[in-house]
Amino acid sequence: MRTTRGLLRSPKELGFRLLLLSLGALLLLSLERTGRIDPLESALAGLISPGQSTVASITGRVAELWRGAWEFRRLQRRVAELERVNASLLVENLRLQEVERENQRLRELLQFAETRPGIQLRGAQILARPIGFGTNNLNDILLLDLGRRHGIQVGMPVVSEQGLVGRISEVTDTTSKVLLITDATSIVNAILQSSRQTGVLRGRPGQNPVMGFLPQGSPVSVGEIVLTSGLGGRFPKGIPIGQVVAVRQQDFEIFQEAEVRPNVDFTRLELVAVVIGFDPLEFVPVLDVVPEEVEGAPTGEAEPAPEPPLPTGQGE
Amino acid sequence: MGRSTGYAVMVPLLGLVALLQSTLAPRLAILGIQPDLVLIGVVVVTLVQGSHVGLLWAFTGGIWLDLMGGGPLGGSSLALMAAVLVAGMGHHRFFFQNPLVPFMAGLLAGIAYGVSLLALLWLFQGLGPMDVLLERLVLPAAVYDAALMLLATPWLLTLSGRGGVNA
Repeated sequence: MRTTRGLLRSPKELGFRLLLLSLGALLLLSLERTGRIDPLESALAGLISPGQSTVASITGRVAELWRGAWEFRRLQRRVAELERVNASLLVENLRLQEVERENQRLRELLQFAETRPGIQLRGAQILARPIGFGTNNLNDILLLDLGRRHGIQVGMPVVSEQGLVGRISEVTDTTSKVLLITDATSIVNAILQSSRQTGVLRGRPGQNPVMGFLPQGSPVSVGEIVLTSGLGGRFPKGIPIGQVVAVRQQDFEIFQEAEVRPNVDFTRLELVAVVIGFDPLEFVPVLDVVPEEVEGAPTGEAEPAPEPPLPTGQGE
Repeated sequence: MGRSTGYAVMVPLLGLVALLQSTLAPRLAILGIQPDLVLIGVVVVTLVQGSHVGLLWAFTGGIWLDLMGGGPLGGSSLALMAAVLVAGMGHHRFFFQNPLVPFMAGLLAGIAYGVSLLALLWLFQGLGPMDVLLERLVLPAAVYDAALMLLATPWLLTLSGRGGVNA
């Protein structure tokens, strides 16, 4: 008969330990909520982030090698002899492909910056990439390798070459956290590119964000491009957010809603840029080809739409 | 392994697992759901060593997770401790004869962890509809964690036979 130390201990002792540790956790929670351990957290983040950066880089390379290995096997079946001769070249080739992909991303990011002269960008590499959800599946957070020392401040927008990623929610000296637009607490003022309807885009964990406060009767069609409206001045105007994939309209409700699929593939983000300064009044053309109905409009929105009512929460 | 040695191993080991959680786990995501590596580690220790030890691992692992992942500090500890209380039920004699116990412990602990985390985040951040989050995030993640526990069962049985991890 097997016994263990845990079984021999009394429930009283277990309860005491549970109580003690729970109180400790609650104390930490309350200290963090009141901001009293921010300096300590900041110092610890400074210690941890280099390690995270290194491991993130290693796992990225391992993942690339893993993918490369699968590809290698497939090709090996087809040209086994040639593969044996060129195995070392293949490894080198994989490395160069990765460099090329990085170059491509950087070129796209540069192009993004060049088409928006009013926006000052700062590139950042993602250290920890919690696919959408921090270290759990509920928070949509990214960790960046730029912090207060690099001029990063809470509230700064974060973009990629595909469009809006989110905004800085917390900053330490060397790192910063990005609240993605898919996070439940994220709110962005948005505009539909064709119909020029403004609304508020709210994130939903595990699902596409929803653009709400769209007046009933206004024409909202599936496939419409969603951009930042610039209202409130928190995000530059005209940054692409996504595309409408569904419209929910019920006669008894004041507003209709549009489900928006983000342009950015958050699972594949490797490089992002933090907007460290922008002119809130500047309208940024999003597409090379401007749709016909917008062509005649002056720079900016045709008519300034009223600020839609904001629900409670962080963000714009 | 002595108690002090156990502590000395526990803290860096959990730090390493939390590091992998924040860097490697997203690459192991299936349909957008990533495994909870720290939770799995804590459940393994709880099954082998019991809730007394598991609680310490949960507290420490939670702190590491929150430091690296950006959650409210202490929140993950509370959620992991809830998971330990559930997984601790598997720390009985029949566990050693029933390989399904680790799977069920992983599943139920995963649900307890997810629900607790959901409740905390709802409290602090006002998350959206709970039923949707439960269905789309918490339950799939628990199933994923349970599947990994199933894979770890042979190693777990070996570990338990040797006396396991101590803290």
